[in-house]
Amino acid sequence: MSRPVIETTPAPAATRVLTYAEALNEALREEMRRDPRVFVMGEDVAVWGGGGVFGVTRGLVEEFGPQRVRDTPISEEAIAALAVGAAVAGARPVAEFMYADFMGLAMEPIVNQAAKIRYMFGGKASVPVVFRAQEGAGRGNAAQHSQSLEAWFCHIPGLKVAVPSTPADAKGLLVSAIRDENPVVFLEHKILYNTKGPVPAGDVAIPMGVADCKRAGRHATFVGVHTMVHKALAAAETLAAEGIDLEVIDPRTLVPFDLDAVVASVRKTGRLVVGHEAYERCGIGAEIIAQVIAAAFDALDAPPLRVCGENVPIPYNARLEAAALPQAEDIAAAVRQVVA
Amino acid sequence: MATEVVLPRLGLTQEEGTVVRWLKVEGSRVAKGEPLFEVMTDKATLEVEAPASGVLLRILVAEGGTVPVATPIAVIGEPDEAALHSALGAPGTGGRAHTAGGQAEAGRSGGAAANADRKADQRPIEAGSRAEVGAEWSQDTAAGNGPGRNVSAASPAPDPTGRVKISPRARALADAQGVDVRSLAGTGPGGRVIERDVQQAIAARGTAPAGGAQAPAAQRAQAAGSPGPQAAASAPTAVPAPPVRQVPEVAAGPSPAAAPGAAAARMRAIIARRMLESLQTTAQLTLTTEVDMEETERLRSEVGPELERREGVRVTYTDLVVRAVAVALREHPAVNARWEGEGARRLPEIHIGVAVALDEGLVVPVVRHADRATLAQVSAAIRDLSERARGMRLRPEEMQGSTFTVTNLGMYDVDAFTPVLNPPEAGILGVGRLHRRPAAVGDRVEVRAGMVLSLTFDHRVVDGAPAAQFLQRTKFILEHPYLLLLP
Repeated sequence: MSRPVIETTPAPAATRVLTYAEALNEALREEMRRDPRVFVMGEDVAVWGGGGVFGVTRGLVEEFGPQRVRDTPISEEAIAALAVGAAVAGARPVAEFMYADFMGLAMEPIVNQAAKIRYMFGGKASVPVVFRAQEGAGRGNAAQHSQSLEAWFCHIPGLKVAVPSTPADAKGLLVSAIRDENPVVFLEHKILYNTKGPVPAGDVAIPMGVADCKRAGRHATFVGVHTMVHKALAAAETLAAEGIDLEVIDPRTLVPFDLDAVVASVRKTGRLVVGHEAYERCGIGAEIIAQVIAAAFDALDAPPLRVCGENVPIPYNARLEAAALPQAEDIAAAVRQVVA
Repeated sequence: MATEVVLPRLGLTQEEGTVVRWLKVEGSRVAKGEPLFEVMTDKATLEVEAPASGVLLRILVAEGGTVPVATPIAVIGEPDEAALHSALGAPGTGGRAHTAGGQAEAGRSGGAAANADRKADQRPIEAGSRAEVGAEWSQDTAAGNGPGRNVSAASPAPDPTGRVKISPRARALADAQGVDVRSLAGTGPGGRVIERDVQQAIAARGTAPAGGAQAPAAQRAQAAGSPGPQAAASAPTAVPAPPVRQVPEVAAGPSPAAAPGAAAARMRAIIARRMLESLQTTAQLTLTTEVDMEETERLRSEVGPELERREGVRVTYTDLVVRAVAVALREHPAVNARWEGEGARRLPEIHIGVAVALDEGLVVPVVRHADRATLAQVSAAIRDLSERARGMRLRPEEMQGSTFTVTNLGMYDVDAFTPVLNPPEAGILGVGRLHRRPAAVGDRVEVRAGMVLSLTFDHRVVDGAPAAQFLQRTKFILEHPYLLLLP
């Protein structure tokens, strides 16, 4: 299955066009150079295939050595627990989970330790750890390797959750995540690794909790996660031909969530569609809609809609997989409905 | 062109009605004249026929919903619109849009369809229609016919309290701009008033007189109050249908909102409103007089059996009082009148309302031209009306137009009371118990039949002396009851 290559605007002088994976690699490399406490650990991040199954850690072991780029056993709980301990002890680990689907095995150290230690020790200890993982479908990886599970982590107080959709956001947010004194669940999307985009050179951190307007529009607001940002931009072109002007907001981090940006957009458009690949039921879309209704009920001219993954295990078959995922035409249909 | 079905005005004073039951489901085909829904007005439930042929595209007011007269309650469309509607209802090209609210309502179709069969041979009344509003609706639909437009999810259940269906954004704008949202026709999904409707109303200010858009619809609805033709019986009925089109309130229905309790509550609300209005807006007071009923008893015992044999009627004391009142009113037209803002107007005809107590409350069917009817005719009319009233099978027009009312509490051993005027009438006569009691006859005491009449009248319309003269004349007629037999 061919991977989509999403080109955005031409790179200005101070930027290069990188893939999403290259941008992440650059963030890791620059942070490891900047701060000797930063180290990387995970399954096959060092030796196998030269830097992880998606190449995000490519070349790091050569530059920083096996002490700071560590292959681990296939035990997600061990990866998470070791990272939490190292963080409490003063290191700044970046722990990689090969698939977010297997973070279920690591929930005890993430949820009960990383998320709570700073609170329970009255601020005397902090857990500056990044839990990196990739999620999402679109590669025929089947039901156990294709899920989008960001809502699990958004539910837990004490965890920040980043969901970058572009190479620039991936680099800038990962830099911020590594520098954060609190645990960050950093969720990448496997389909996006090979997408390209301009990335500012040098030390450019994107703060957590600041949304990005990927496309300005007047008639409806779309808030989406990961691939849904790009699908919404495609849908916006279709809709523009029909005279519907769609605004696309990328929250970039779900915790903290930039509600102000979304509310400002909804106050302008009066209509809201929220999208994610994750299962619709109890997905982050419901949370976003609830927050918007509470904050801006009088701005809404139509019931907000969700465009989400079906509540089914994600199929292996490519056509069924596509059918289970929200597509650009689904976004367009939902937008037409809210502007009707 | 789509036709909007509006809640018909079935009586002159009717302000609102309750959709008791839909006899067709959304998406089903209806023929003009076919029974479409049942509506409960002030005190009766009637079947209403479709104003046009086509497909029932949308039901805007669910069963149990109460809305003002002339409110759109459904849309009937042409076949091509039906196809469009069908396309709109489909998920579209992989459409996966879901409302935050979730499920489209479904499932009431089976019961309603069965009811449609059962009621098919009852006579309907034609509903009013607002074709031009329907045209707006269809234009709006055509403008937004994108694939995947989820019509079913966009049709929230109407609020039975009759509140305006309006988006929060539109309401905020209307509040800020002082726009009366009840005057707006919603063009959003399911007829929802959305921002553009308010914006158009603001833009239209000054170009049209206020309320102008509403008046024609109300007139049409009022004009549609006449009974329609008999509907053809189109389905075999397992249960014999009643000979008239009203549906007994006790009929089991699929909708809890239309249960008998709701009917009773609704009647209670109407009675409450009218009685309070009566006491707050009239100048009423009550006169009483005692009537010697010996002669009337004798008349009834002597003429009654003869009337029963020849005319098949059993004359009651209520019949005799109604006839006496009608005759007396003819001679005292000042009491057969009403207050009309500027002054009192005498009414050319005499129609006597007869209060009938029901478990659910009170209804007042009307004996028309009681002064011109014979005693036997009055008796037959009262019997027919009261029997059908107890079955909740009166038509609204049979409860309207009375110029004077007679109410009888004598059977409960009430001697005298202060009846409350039935607006806009100027008089109501309360009948007390008929019983034998000692009475002075000359200088002797005899045991004779007697009863007390209580006349409440509106002092704005008539003064005490003429009202007393009317009461005196009624007493005289009942004490000389052979006058009742004169034409």
